Amino acid sequence: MFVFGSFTTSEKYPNDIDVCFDISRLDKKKVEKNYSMLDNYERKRYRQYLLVHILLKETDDAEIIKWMKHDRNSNERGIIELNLKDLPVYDKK
Amino acid sequence: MIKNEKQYKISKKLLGEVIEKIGNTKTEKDYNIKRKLVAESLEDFKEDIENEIREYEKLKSGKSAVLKERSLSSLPDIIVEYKIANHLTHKEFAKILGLKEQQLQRYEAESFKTVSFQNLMKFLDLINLDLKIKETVIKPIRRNKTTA
Repeated sequence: MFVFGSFTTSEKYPNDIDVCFDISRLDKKKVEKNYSMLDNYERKRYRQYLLVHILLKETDDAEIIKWMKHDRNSNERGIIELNLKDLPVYDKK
Repeated sequence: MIKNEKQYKISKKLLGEVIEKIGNTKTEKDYNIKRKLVAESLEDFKEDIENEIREYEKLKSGKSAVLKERSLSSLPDIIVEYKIANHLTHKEFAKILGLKEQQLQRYEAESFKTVSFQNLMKFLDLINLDLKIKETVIKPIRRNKTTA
């Protein structure tokens, strides 16, 4: 998972939270089964109630990383990569 | 929020790239459930950029004479919108606000969120904006009843 946007800057009052999930390693069947977790309706709900904007990418989507790495003035900015498997709450099943 | 011409041009370019990416994703040979999710999330991203571009163009054209209802936290955006709607340069706007150009640029980069309340009021006054809060009932605080 990548976090980008104002939350990764020194901005005192960041706005919404921009995240991007790399779904390339996810099993297609599992994705099909859990499709509703990331569909249009759910993403709109995350956005509306949690102020989280979700982008999804696969490994070969290099452009998306490029967009995340640049601000509105085209200046480079940092992004944070989180390996969810490293988190203690990650359910390996 | 797009704050100036430079950001407007960059956003337009980005929009073109996102549209192209959506098109490429949808026409891939192996268009599966995962690619569908990627394309759908990109559609959201595209919508956000389109809305911002539309908003900026509306302000610039003077068609958006009425400032939209907003939460108190986005109140400082009004100052930037005023600058865009009046086609003011940084230099001209800094003069109106009694600031140095660099200081204005710094404030603008932070969407005027770091400006003190006193200065915010001063700026809003200088651009002739009269802000009023609608008549509202103050809800009384619920106090926990203590049992003896």
